[in-house]
This record gives sequence, structure tokens and C-alpha cells, in this order.
Amino acid sequence: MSNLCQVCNKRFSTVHVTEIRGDEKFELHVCDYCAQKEGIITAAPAPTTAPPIAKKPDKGGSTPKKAKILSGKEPPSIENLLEGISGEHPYAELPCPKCGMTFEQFNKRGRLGCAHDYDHFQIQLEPILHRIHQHIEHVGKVPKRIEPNIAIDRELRGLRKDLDEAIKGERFEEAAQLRDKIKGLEQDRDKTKLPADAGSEEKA
Amino acid sequence: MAFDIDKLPADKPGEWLKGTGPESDIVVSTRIRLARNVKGYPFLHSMTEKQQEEVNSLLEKAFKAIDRNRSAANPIKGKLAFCELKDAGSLDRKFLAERHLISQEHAAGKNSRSVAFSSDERFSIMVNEEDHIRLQHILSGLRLAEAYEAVDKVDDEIEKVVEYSYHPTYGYLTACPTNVGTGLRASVMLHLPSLAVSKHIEKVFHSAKKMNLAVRGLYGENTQAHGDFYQISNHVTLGESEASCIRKLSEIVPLIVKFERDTRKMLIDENKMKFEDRIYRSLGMLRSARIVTSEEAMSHLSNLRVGVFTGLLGGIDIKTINQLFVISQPAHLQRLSGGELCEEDRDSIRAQFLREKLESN
Repeated sequence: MSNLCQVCNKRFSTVHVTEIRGDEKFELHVCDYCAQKEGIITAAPAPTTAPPIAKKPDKGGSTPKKAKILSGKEPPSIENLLEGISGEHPYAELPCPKCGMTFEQFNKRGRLGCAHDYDHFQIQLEPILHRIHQHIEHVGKVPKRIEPNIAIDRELRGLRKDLDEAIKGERFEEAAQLRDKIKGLEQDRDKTKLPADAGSEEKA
Repeated sequence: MAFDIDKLPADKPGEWLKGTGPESDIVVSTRIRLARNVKGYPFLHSMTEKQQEEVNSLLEKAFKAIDRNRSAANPIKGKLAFCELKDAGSLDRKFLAERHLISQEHAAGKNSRSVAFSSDERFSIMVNEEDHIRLQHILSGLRLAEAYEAVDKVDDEIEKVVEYSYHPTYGYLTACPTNVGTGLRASVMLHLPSLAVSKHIEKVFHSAKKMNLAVRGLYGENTQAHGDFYQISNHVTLGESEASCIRKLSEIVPLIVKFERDTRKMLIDENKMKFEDRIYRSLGMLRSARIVTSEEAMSHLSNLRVGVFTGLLGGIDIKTINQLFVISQPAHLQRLSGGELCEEDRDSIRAQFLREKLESN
């Protein structure tokens, strides 16, 4: 799927902006570089080099639409955020295979249909989540049932990083020990793995 | 089922207005709420009637199991009552909402739903409100960390018997994306009459917004600040840990409390007569009026509260005032009078209760 920046038409868009002016709705999808350059976002320090150009060819470039950021610092209501996200998006019409909800229905109701919606509508939801919470990833409590695996995964990530560094530093004895430790943890994790994984299975 | 609601005393405040706990002259109560959904079922509004009943039934069994098998870690004291709201009358449901055990939406809803609450009214668990589970813990005064610790333990207890809907990236999944992640709403109920009358309350709203905190009225979302009660809460639930949220509120609230106390002093210093007059006019009104609406009662009782805490109003106990706040509410009033009443009758009976309790000795 190509979601190219509407300003440069070269890089993938990662900043999504919506504005409502009277009866009209405007959308803007830009890459980080253009967002900074156009003054759309100022939070991060301005990039010193432009990020790499997307390899996919431009498909008959669309006219870039400029829009201002929605003003107002009210904790956004879901209704405000949903306005303006039009049905132009390729997945907008596809309903969730588990609960049958379409994004347009979510648009109207402000409530999702099932847990799977978070995956099915991921692309449309992330800008909304970002607008509400300024983040798109959970940090915080993990259910006790899942906790052991998450803790092991975190440790494994750390150990694999250490292993890479040990190999680079030609500390092969250390590397061998780390490799054994990693194998042991992987075996532990597979033993405690839950039959159903989080968040994806639903009754119809 | 109404049997359990009947056990709640209509003439005494619940935990939320008990008046004990730190800073309770201004911080009326602390509330921690967690939103959770049961894995394997759609979210509430996409559930069929049958699925709602299944979840209701599943959770009733779960809570009864928790009630029976009290582990040492379970902080719920007192029995857990379970109430099917479809079976409860309109007055009973409004009564529960007035006691802050359920939300106004839950009281007014039509679907298969219920609430479990502890006899000390500190814990309540709404079933099938906006999410399958809304777990709530209220403590009198400013006690954020303590309240969170307790609700965290109850959450763990529920999780032993119910599998939660959870996503490795988005955390605890909720029907509305505004709650996804921690599902946590931590709030404090503050009594801010001097900030309200001096219009400095606008500064509080402004600062709160800057810090991603929401300010709401007495009964929560979309409600008025009757009696000058304001609820301040977090509104970010994704990307911020529970500990960080609690810490942020714990830092902000004392500043607002100080602001209210300083404003009271300032108003008294500027014009003590005017400040006292407001208090005593309210006292006079409540001692004499024949018709008092619930908004009027809240407003005047708010002035009496300030009077007691600033020492300008003698001879009246804060317990009496808190009690009057509670019994002035429409459903409480009707409970105490023995049945449903029209608005006119409520207003005159309210006036009567107020006169009786505030009679000069």
C-alpha cells in the first residue's frame, strides 16, 4: 500500500493531520521531514538530513493539500478526532472479519466492536491514538497470565544484544555462555507459552 | 436483589463524603477506576443480548467466587453485594448513582448489566457499562497511592478467574480508544468554593488542560460542578504507566489544595464581612425556606462547609453538613420519605429536612 507524503510525493507519510473548516474537511498526510519543514510539527528537533526517499515510484502525483493543525487544547473527544477521516483510505470500507464493524460505523459510534479492531483498523487508529494520548504503545501493567512471557522476551532481547556485542568484541567464551543462556530461556518460554495468545481470538 | 441496596443507609454518606482521610476539608475523596474487557467477547455495543447476559452471568460467578475465597491479598473488606440493574427500580438505580457506586449512564441503561459493591462502599464493579468491567475504589481524602495499590490487587484477583482482553502493543483493550492501555482513570474530588467564586477556577482548568488532566463535575463526565465539587483526573491511558499517572496527580493536587486555601485567606483578608455574609445568608436561607431545589441546597451547603472549615461558622458539625449533602439528593430524599415524590414535594421535604437539621440550638 502506498501512502506517500502529499508534499514531496517521495517519502512515506507518517504524520496525519485533519482539519475541519465549517462544512469542509481537509486531510494531510506528510512525512516527518516535510512536517518539520512546513512547520506542522515542532516537537522533535529538525532533522539535519532528509530521510531516505521511498523506493516505490510516484503513482501520478496527487495535489498536495495544505491544512492547519486543529487548534484547541481540549482533551479531544473521539467525535472531534474522527471527523475528517474520510473513506478515501483503502481499508476504510473493509469490515472487521470478527465483529463486522466498519471504520465508518466506528466513526459514527465512537466505540469499537471487538478486540480485533485494534489490529484490523491499526492504520486508521494510530493517528487517533496519537492525538488522544500522544503515544501509541502501552507501558504499564501487564496481566499476570502474560507477564512471565513478556519478562522473558525482554530479557532475551537484552541477551541477544549482549551476544552481538560479545561476538563483535571477539569475546567468544562470553558469547558461548550467552548463547547457552539464550537457548535455556527460549526453552523456558516455550514451556510456559499460553495456548491462546493475547488479543486476537474472538467469538463471533 | 433490591435487598442489598436496601441495606445502604440513605441517611449517611458513603465513603466518598465520609469526611475522614488526609486533606478531606478540600479533597473530598480519591477514586481509582480500571476498565477491563473479557477476552473472547465483542465489546459492549456489538454484543448480542445473549452475549451480554453471558458476560453478566460469568462475572457474577467470578465475583461471588472472589467473595467466598478471600485470599490474604484481597483488600475488599465487608461482604460483596451483587445487584442486577434490570431488576432494580428506577429510584434504586438513581440512589446507587447518587452514592457514586454506579455512573449515571449505568443507572439509565437498558441492557443486561449489574454492579457488585462492598458493604463499606469503597469498592464497586460495574458490569456492562461502557466496558465489560469497570472496577472502582473510593477512599475519603487524598490517598492516591493507597487507592491504586488496593485496586491493583483486586484487579489481580479478578484476573485469576477471568481472562482479560489484552494486546501486546495497545495494552488492556477497551471499547473506546480513549481508555485503551492502562484503562486507568485516577481522579480526586475537590471542594473549591473560593476558587469558584473568585473565578480563579479558570486557572485550574487552564493548568489542568496543559497537563493533560480533565476537570469534571460532581457526578463525572458531562456533569455540573454542583456544590462547587470538581473532579480532576488523568485522561491519558496509553504510553503512560499507572505509577507515572498516580505520581503526576499526587504532585498537582496539593498545589490546587493550597491555591484554594490561599484564596480563602485572601478573600477573608480582603473583605471578611462579605465572606461571612455569604455563609450566613446561606444558613439563614436553609433555616427558613419552605422550598429548596437540590441545586440550591448544594450551593448553600457548600457555603456552610467553607464556614465550618474556616472557623467562621460555629455551632454546626461538618458531619451534619455532609449528611445534608447526601440526603438532599433526589433519590436519597425519596428513599427517606418512603417513596417516589414529584419535584414540588421533593423540594418542600428537602426544605423541611434542612430546617430540622440546622435548627439553632
